[in-house]
Amino acid sequence: MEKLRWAEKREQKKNRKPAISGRNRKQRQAAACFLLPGLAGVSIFVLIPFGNVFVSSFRTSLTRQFVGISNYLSIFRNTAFRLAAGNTVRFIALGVPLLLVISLLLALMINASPKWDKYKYLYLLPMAIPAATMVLVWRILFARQGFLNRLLETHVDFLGEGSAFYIVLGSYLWKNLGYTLVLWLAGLKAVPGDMLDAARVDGAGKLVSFLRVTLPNLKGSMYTILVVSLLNSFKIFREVYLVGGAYPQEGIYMLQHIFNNWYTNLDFDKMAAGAVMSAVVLGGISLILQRLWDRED
Amino acid sequence: MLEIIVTSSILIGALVLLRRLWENRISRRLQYALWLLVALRLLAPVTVFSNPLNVMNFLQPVVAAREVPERSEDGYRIFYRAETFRGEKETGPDGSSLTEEEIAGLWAREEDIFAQDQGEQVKLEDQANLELSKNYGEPADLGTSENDEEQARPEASGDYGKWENQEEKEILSLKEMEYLLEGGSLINRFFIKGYARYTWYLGMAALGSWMLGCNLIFRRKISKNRTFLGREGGLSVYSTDEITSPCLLGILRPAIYLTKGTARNLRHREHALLHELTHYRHKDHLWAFVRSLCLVIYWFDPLVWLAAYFSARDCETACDEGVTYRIGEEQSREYGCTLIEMASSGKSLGLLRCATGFSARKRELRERISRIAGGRKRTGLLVTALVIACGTALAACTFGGAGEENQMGRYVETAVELPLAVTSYASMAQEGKIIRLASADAGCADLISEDGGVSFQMEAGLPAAYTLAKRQSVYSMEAASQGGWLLRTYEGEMKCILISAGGQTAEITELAGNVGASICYGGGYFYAWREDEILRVDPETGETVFLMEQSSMPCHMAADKERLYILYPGEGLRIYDLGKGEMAARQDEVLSEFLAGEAQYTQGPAGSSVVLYPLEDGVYALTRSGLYWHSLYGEEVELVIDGSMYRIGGGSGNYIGLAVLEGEERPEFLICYADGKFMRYAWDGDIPAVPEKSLRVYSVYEDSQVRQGVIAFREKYPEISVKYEVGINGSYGMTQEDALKNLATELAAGRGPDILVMDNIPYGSYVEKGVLMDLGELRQGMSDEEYFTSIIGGTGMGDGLYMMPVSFVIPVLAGAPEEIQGIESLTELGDLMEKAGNAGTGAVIGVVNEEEILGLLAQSSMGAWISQEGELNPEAIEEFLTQAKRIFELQKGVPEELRHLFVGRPQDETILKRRFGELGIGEITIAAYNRFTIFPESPFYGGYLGGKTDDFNGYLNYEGSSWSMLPGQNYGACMPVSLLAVNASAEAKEESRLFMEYMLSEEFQKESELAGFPVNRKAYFGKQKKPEMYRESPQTIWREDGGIIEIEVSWPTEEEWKELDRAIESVKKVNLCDNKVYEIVISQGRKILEENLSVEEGMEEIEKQLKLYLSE
Repeated sequence: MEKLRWAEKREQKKNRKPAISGRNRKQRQAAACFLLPGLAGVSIFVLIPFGNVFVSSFRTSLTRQFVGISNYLSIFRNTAFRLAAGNTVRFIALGVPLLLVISLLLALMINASPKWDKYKYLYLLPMAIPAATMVLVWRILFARQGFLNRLLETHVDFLGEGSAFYIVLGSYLWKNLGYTLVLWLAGLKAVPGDMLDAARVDGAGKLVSFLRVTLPNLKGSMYTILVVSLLNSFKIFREVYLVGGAYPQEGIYMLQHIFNNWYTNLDFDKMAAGAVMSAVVLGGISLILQRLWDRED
Repeated sequence: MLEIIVTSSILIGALVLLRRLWENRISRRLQYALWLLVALRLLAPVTVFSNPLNVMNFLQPVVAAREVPERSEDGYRIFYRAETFRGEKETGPDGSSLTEEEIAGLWAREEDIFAQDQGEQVKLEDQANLELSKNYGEPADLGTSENDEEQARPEASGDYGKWENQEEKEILSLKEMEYLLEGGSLINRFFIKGYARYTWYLGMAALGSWMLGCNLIFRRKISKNRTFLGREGGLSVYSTDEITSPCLLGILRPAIYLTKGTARNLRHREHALLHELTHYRHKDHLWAFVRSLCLVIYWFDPLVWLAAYFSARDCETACDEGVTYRIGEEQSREYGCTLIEMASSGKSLGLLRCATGFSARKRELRERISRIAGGRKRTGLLVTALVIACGTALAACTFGGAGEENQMGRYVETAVELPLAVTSYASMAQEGKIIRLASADAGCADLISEDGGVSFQMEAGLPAAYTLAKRQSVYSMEAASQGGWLLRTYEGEMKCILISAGGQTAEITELAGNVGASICYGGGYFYAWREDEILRVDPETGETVFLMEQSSMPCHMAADKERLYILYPGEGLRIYDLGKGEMAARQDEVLSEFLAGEAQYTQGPAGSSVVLYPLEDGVYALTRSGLYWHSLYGEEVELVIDGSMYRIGGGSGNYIGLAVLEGEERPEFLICYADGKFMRYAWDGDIPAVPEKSLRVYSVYEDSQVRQGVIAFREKYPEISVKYEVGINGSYGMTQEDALKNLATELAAGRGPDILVMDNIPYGSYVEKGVLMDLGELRQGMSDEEYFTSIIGGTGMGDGLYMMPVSFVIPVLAGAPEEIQGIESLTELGDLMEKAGNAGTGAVIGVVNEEEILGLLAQSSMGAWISQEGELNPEAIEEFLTQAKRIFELQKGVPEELRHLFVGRPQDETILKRRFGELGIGEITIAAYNRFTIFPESPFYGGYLGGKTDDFNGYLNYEGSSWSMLPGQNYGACMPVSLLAVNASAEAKEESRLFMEYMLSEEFQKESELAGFPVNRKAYFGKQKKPEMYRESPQTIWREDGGIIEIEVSWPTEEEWKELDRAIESVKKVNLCDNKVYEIVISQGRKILEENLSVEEGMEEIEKQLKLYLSE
C-alpha cells in the first residue's frame, strides 16, 4: 500500500501541469480584468458592508457612540445568544456529520449496485419541496392532534417539546440527503477504477480499499459537500421560523432567530457583534479544515 | 438622451475652444486625456445624481412635451399635448401669433376634425372660439373618398381637405393645419412621433454593422497575407502588403503591422515600432474602439464626429510626444524625417477603424512635424492646475442629471363654512354657479349658493313628512340643481318619491321595492337603476323612460346632456349615448380600466367612493387617490389633485358630490364629503408645488384617529406637507414583523418617520435605544385644567415621558349595582361570577369564546403582567389565567352558530379593534347590545367605554342596572389609544411638536370622532354638550327568543355625566403592556381555556417564551 501511495504521488507530480507563473505582466493584467468585476461586486456587497458591521460592533445601535467591546461582552452574557449559539452548534455538530455519513453510505450502496443508479435522482425531490409545504406536513404529523399522536395515542405537541430539535434535524437530513448523495456519487465515479483493481490484486478487502483508496480520493468532494451541508444547515431556519415564529421551542431557537429579533428591536449593535463573532468562528473553522486538508495532501 | 446630447455638445464645443487656447502650453498627452470627459459623458448609461450646476437647469428646454400617446385603434390620434418654447407664442402660417385661446380652440377642433368612427366622414364643425375660422373661412367640402379606409386614416392618404383663407386666398392643407394645431416645429413633431427614435436605431445598426464589417474584413485580409517578423515589447510584429502605413491592430490581442517597405528599412522599422508601441502603452487601440463606439451611438451628432476627429489627431500628437520623450531630442529629427518619408497620400484608417496608424496626411503631418520640432511641452504647475480646474468646471456643468425644477403652484384646501351644520348631506347638484346641497336629516333645509360656493343661503328642504323622527327613513336621495328631489323612502316598504321644484309629489312605482337602487342627476334629468333596468325620470312630471337593461347595480352614475356614465366596481365604466338611446358604440377603455380599480360599493346610502363629473368632452373623476381629468377617448388620465396630500385621500369617507368652477388660473373645485365637510380647492400659483416643510407620520396599522388628525392638521397648516404612512398597507403577505423590520431599516438609515404611533411597536426597545424624544418639555406645558395629565403622564418610562395617548378608554362592568359595587380584584370578580353561575342564571358575562373572555379581563389586568422596567410578574399572569379559566367555565356558553348575530363596530381602526375583536365586541355598548339580543339572562356584561358616549346611559342603566370600573389586577387604570411619539432624529422637530400639540388640542379633539375619551379635558367636557341636531332615537332590539326590548336612548343627564366624570377622574394610571407579552399570554391562555394545557403548563410555556424575549 505504501508503495502504491508513493507511486501515485509520483504519477500525480509527473502529470501535474506547470503552475502558471503569473509573473507575466500581460497575464496578470488579463487575470485582473477578469477578476475585477467579481471582486468589485464582492467588495461592494460583502467586504465593505462587513467592514461597516465590524466598525458598528464597537458602537451603539443608533446613536453610534463608541463603546469599545461592551457589545461583545453583552452578547457573551446574553442567555438568549448563548442558547441560540449552543443550539446552532449542536445542530451543525450532529446534522452535518450525520448527513455526510448517511449520504456516503447510500452513495456507496448505489454505486455498488448499478440497478439502483437510475433512482438516484429521486433523492433530489425533497429539495424541490417548498418550505411552507414542509411546515404543513410537520403540523399534520407532529401537532397535538396530528398523525403521530393518533398513532401513539398521546396528546403531545412534539413541535413544542424537546423533540422539536430532532424533528428539525430529521427534516434537514431528509431534505439534503439527495443533494449530497449525488455529489458523493460524482466523487465515487471519479475514483480511478484501476487503483481499486490494483488494490484488490494486492489483496485489499472492501473495507481497506474503501479506507485507503476510495476515501482519500473523495477528499475533494468531501470538502465541497461539507461546505454545502454547512450552508444548508443554516437554511433550515425557514421551516423553523414558519412553524415556531420568532420565539419557537427552546431547542430550535437558532442564531438566525436571535438576529431576526434583534433587528426588529433595533439591537443593531448586538447584531454586529454577533455577526463578527460568528464570522470569526466560521472563518476559523474553515481555515482549520483547509489546513488539515492541505496537510494531508 | 436630450440632456446627454446638449451637455456633450457643450462639453465638446468648450474643449475644442480651450484646445485652441492652450494647444501650445500644455503637453499633448494632457490635451489628449481631456477627451476622456467627452467619452464618459457620452457613454454614461444612467444619471447617478442630480446636479444643480448642470447647464440643463439654466437652458430652456427645446421641447417639454408629455408622453406621446400611442396611436388609437383607428390610427389617427396623432396629437399630443406639448408645451413648446416656453413663453413663446405659437404662430400661424400667416406669421401672426396665436393666443392661448386660439390654440385651445384649435385643440377643441382637433377632436372634431379627426375624431370619427371607422367608415364615417370627417366631421368639420365650427367651434365658438375658433378665431382662425374668420381668417380661414369655412372648410371646403371634403367629399367622399372611394377608399373608406384611406378616409379614416388621414395620415395614409395625405391631404383630405383644404382650408381656404378667404382673405388671403391661401390654401392650407390639413398637414399645415396639423402643424398649426400642434403649435410647434416639425422637428418637434418628428422627434415626438418616435420616427426619430427608429431612425436612430437604424443608423446605429447600420453604422455599427459597417464598423464591425470593416474591421473584420480588414483584419481578415491582413491575417491572410502577413509575415511574422518577431515579437517586440510583448506584441507580435508582422509585415504585410495590405496596408499603406504601419498600424497597431486588435483589441484583445493587438499586434503591430508594418508595410514590407518599412520592414526592410531599419530606421523606418525602428521608428514605426517605437510609435506603435507607444500607442500600445497609451492603450490607444482601446480608445480607438471607444471612439468608434461613440460615433456609432451618436452618429447623428456632428459635434461627436468633430470630437472624434480632434481626439484622433491628439492621439497621434500625444504618441509622437511619447516617442520623442523616449528617443530624446537628438533622434527626434530623424523621427520627424521618417514621418515625412513615410507620409501617406492614401486614405487614413478612418475614425471607425479600431486601429492606430503611423503616417499621416499632409495636413496633419505639418502639425505633427512642427510639434516634434518644437520639442516636448512641459506643462507648468500653474497651467496644469488651470487645465484641471477648467476640466472640473466643465464636468461639473455637464455631468449628472438636471436638478429637479422647483415647481410652483398647488391647490390649497380650505373648509367652507356652511350656515347649517349637518352630520351629512345626501346630495349635491350644480348648474353653473348655482350649487345645491340637500340633506335628508329631519328638519334640515337645503343650502343654495348662487356665487359658486362663496356664500350659501338656506332654502326649504325636504318636506318634513319624509324626515320623521326615525332616522334613515330616507334611504337615498338626489337633488336637482334647480330644485326638487328624487328619494327612496321606507314607509313599511321601500317607495320612490319625486318631489318637483314646485312641490308636486309623485310616486315612481317603477322604482319601488326593497332592492337597492342607484340614483343620479345630470343633464336636467334623474337617472335611476333598479333591479335590471335603468330609467330616466323627468324632474317635473315624474315621467319615466326606460333606457336599458342592466342587471348589475352600479356603484355610481353621472350624466350630462349627451351621455350617461355608469360605473361598476371591478368592471369599469360604461357609457350610454343619450342621443342615440343606446350604449355608445365606442367605450372609453382607458377611463374604464382606471376606474375599475378605484370604484367600490360603499356602506350606507350617502355618498360613493368615486364621483364623476362630465364636462364638455371630458370627465373629472374624484377617487380616493385624487381628482383626475380625462379627455373622453383620450389616452391619458391626468392627476389634478393628489389625494394623499389632502382630505380627498383620507380615511374611508365617501364623497357626496363635486362641483367644478372656473378659476383664475385653473379650475376650482368644491367637494362635499359624507361626514358633512365641504371643502374648496383653489389654485395658488405663488406657493411651492410641494410645501417646504414636511412631516411623516407612521403607524404599523391604519389608525383612524391619527388619520383624522392628519387630515385636520393639513387643513390647519397647509404650508406643512404631512404624509401618513401605514406599515401594513394591504400588501400581500406583509406581517407586523415585516412592517417593524422595514421601520427598523428606515431608522437605521436615518430616514425614519417624524411621528410614530407606538401602539404596535416595541416601545421598550425604542426608548432604550434613544429613538424616541423625551416629551417632558411638552408635558410641562400642559396644565391639569386643560388635560388629563395623570393619563398623559401615566405612559412615562424611567425618568422620561416618551409617548402620549390621543385618547383613552376605561374598562367597565355593568350589572346590578348592589352586586358590582366595591369589587376591585380579579378574584372577587371570579367569586361574583361563580355566585351568579351557581344561581343558574345562564351566561354570566355574555362572551362566547376563549379569546373574548381573555380580551375582556385583560382590559383591566394587562398592566400588571410586566413592569415598565421590563420585569415579568409571573404571579399576576398565573392569577389572570386561573380566574379567566374559572369564569369561562362558568359561562353556559352560546352555540357558535349564534355568533353571526353579534353586531360590532368594525370601522374603528385602532388597537382596540385589534386587541378586542374584529367586530369591536370589546366595547361596552356593543357588549350590551349583544347581551340583550343573545344573553338576556346574563346578569353582567363588560367592555371598554369611550368614544361614542351619547348612548352609554341607555344601555348601561337599562332596567336599573349600573356600572363601575371593571375589576382586575390593574384596577382603576385606563387603556391608552394611539400612543404618539416623536423620533429623536426627526428633522422636522418643530413640525413634529406642532403636530403633537394639535393632536392633543381641544380644537381637534372636540370636533373629531375619537375611539376613546379625549385626553384634552376641555374637549371631553365639550363633548358633553348636546349638539343642536341631536335627536333622541329609541333603540328597538329584537331578541333571539322573539322578544323585543325598547331602549330609550337619550342624551345623558347631568347626573349620568357626573358619574362618568367621577370614574374618569379616579383613573390615575394607565394599563400599558408590551405587545409581545400580551400576545404570548393570550395565546397560551387560549390553549389553557381550550383545555389543551393546564394553567401550570401554560405558565411554563409563557415563562419560557417570555424568558427568551426578555433576555434578548
